[in-house]
Order: sequence, then C-alpha cells, then structure tokens
Amino acid sequence: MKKIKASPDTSINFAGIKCKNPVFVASGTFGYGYEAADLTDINSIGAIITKTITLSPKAGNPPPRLAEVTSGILNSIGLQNVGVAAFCRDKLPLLQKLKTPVIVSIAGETAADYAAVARALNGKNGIAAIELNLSCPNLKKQIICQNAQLVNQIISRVKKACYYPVIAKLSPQVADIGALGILAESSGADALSVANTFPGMAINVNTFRPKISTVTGGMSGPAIKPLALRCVWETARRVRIPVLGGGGIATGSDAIEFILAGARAVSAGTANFIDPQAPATIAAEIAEYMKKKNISSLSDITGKVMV
Amino acid sequence: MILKAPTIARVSRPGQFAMLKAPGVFLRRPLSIAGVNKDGIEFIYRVVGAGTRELSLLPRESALDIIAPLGNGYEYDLKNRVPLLVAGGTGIASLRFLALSMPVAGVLFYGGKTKNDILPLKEIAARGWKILIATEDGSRGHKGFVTDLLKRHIGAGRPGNMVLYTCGPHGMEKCVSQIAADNNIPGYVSLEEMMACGTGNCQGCAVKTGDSYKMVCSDGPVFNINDICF
Repeated sequence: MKKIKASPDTSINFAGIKCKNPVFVASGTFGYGYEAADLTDINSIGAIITKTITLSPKAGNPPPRLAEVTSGILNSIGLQNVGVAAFCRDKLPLLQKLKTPVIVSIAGETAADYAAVARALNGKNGIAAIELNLSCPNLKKQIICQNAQLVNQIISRVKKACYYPVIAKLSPQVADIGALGILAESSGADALSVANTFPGMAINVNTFRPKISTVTGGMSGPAIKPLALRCVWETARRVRIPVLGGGGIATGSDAIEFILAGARAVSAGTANFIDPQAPATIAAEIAEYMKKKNISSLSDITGKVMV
Repeated sequence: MILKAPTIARVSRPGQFAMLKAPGVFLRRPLSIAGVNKDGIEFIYRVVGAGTRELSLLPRESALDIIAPLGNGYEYDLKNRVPLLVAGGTGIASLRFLALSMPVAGVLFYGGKTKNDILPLKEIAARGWKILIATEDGSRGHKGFVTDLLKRHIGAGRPGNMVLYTCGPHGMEKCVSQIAADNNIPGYVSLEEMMACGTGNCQGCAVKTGDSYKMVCSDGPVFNINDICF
C-alpha cells in the first residue's frame, strides 16, 4: 500500500457526524464493526455502518447464500443478526471503544418495528446515527422503498423515537429514485444512503438450480458501479440533505466519481471482502488525488460533475 | 503448491485455511493449509473452476496476496484415543497437516473416484500411520466407498477408544457423521462452503447447526460432527 505524506484535509461533516475522511464501510460488509480489528486499523475508516439490527434475532436465509458473478457477487444473507437487545448488551460495548463514528443500521417489517429498534438504541453512548435499511432485496415481503407511504411512516416514526441523525438507505429498484429521495427528505430524513444492492439472479447450468437458496439475491461489486453512480446523481441534485454514495466502489478514483456526482461521503462494501484495508486505501487515494489536483476541501468538488 | 511465508507457517494449525487472491477472478479463494515446513505453507487443491485454474498457471516464484491463517483448526487432545482420519478427494489437504502434527499415529482412510485422485503420502506412512485406500472404480485399493473401510475397521475394533476426523465431499461427511452417531464415537468435521471474505464479515458461508446458522469461516471450518445438520 502506498503511503501518502502531508495529506490534504479529507475530513467531512456528514449530517452532523464528524468524520476524519469520507470513506464509510457499508452495512453488512463489516460485521458488527469491530471484528476486522486484526486485519485493518479500524480508526482509519471515516465511519462504520453495522450490519442491520432487527427487533428480534434473525436466523438468516438457508445456504447457499452467495454466488460469484462477473465483477461482483450475489448475496442473500437474510439479515442474520442477534437482535437489538443482544446487540446493546454484547456488541455495543465493543463498538464504544472505537474512535470511529458508528452508525447502526436497522430494519423491520412495519413502522412500529423500526421505531421500537430506534427506541431501544436511543440514549446509548457510541452511536453517531441510525441508518434505516429500507431496501433489503432478500426478504419475503416487498422492498420497503417500493411503498412510499411506508417509507414516510418509518422515517417520521423513527425520528420521533430517537434523537440520532437518521439516514434513509434507498433501493435502486424503484421507478424514480430522485422522487424517493425527496419523499425521504420531506419525511424528516437527515441524510440519504444511495443505494443498496440490485436484485439479480444466477443459475447453475449443470443442476438447473438457482445458485442461491432464495432464487434471487442482491448484486454488488464493481459490476454495479455505473448503475449506483446514476442513482446518486439522480438523487443528490434533487435534495438538500447529504447523500452517502455507494455501489461497487473499490478505488479512490471510484470514490471521486461518486463525490463528483453529488455524494458527500462514500461507502466501500464488497471491496472489504477482498481487501479489509480497502477503506484505508481508498481514503489515501482520495487524499492523493486532492493533493495532485490542489483541492483543499472535498466540498469544493462535491456534485461538480459538468453536465 | 508451496508458498514461502515463515510467519504464517509458524502460527498455522491443522484445519486452518488461507484466502488466496488468484489473478483474474473477483473473490479470494479459500484453501486448506495442507502442511507447513520451516519457512513455507503447503496447499493441495484440484482445478475445479476459474480461480483454481489461474492458481495452477502461476509461474514459479510468483508473489501471491493471501490472508492466513484463518478459522479454528482441529482439536486434537486425544485423551488416549486412536485417531481415525477419513479423507475424500482434496479433503486430504487439512487431514495431511493433522496427521503430520499429531503426537501419535492412527489410521488414515483415503478415498477417491479413481487412482488418479489418490496422492502419495509417504511422509504420513513414515510416521507409523496405517493408510487404507478406496476408489469408486476399484483402480486402487478397495472398490467402493472409503466409508465401507471405516465401518469394517470400527466393527473389528473397540469404538470406545476411537476419535474421528473427516474432510471431503458432503455425502461422505454425512455418512461419517452417521457412523460416528451409530457407534458413539466423538468426531470432528471440516466443512467447505462458498465464501466471500473468509473472516466472518459477509456471513455467506452459513451452515445449519442445531437451531442456528454458524459461519464456516469464523465458527469453523472444523465443527463437532454431532453439531452439524447434514
């Protein structure tokens, strides 16, 4: 890994969260947040987004849960997690030791579920924000983002249930993601996360069986980067709240594309599976780019794609 | 394949694995560590897809990006029991490392489809291990399954003194698990599953145990054979 000296200022303020750099780790790609401590310097990450936490523990989906596709993966984990009570008891104390801001991703089936998880987290030390997973493609019911009324109810109820900044994570699988962003903003979201995985499918031609147990799964990795970038651009230019952009980001150059499209921060996801140091490397490459281009603050280039 | 990696060689235990970055494929590939020497780690693998094909084509003295050692490894506090190792195909990899590390010799049951699947294991035999071979086509050793030999051996001996270790195809592991249950023999199984990260973060390599899913990479890959729902 290249070392960069005399780094420019990559720090950002994202919906009130002070981050030393704009590279977050995406939910579901970094465990509860502390597990990779042996493999990378966790404090070099801008912010950690935990795996999604639900009110009751979830066993997750049966195997096989993963398939490799060209330049990416399909997954169907099914939000396996210990539930919010065990999260607060067993996981949060370990996260409280980190210097990096921790954003807790939450999900449920109803607005009441989301509000109950938010209420259970409210007032706890060591939580910088809540990310609402409104976009999991692997649950039996529809993707929440496809129901505008439900999106509105969830965001407004969670806002009432806790004092944390609330980030709404949008699904790319909607007719107009920009309009969805406006809806989330007017419902009270403090920021948006764009986007989640894209529904996809892969089949084993020898056995005629789908490669993952739930038939379809969420696609991620470099293959979806142009698709996600389009979603960020369509959304960021239509809202005033900050956007966390992600989808296939693996290099500093990928991250800069998202920032130029309007993302205030970016997330590395699938890249973490291949290289646990990917977020640190991406942050270093962003700093190197800023130095080379003589950019003193990332806000100078955020959304500055020339169209 | 042998990789020079003295630090990893020193800390690796039988049953642990490595995640290797093969050129040209997206994800790392998990491979069991098949043995260690003074400054290197050894792998035994079969070319089954694009990743292993790329690995097999690497020129000598290539540099490879790996994360290792990962996973829990085999328990081998034998408590005076005789170890019975049951390997199918490339499942021999982690059991070879185990046989070379155990303080006592036992019996290695080694099966494959044909004689071409059976690797020479002189170094294990030299340590006093009895090696019994089976091939499905009868081209080497017993004609049939390696589990036939295992059943015969257990039937002729004292199961109360035995402990099982197995790694291989799902069907064979399931059969060994049944034999272990039928004869009340303790045992350990090393599992294989599709993995993205190998470190517990992606939660892709789930395996059903009792009432919950465990991760092959971070909870295993070695499990108590009674805990797995085959």
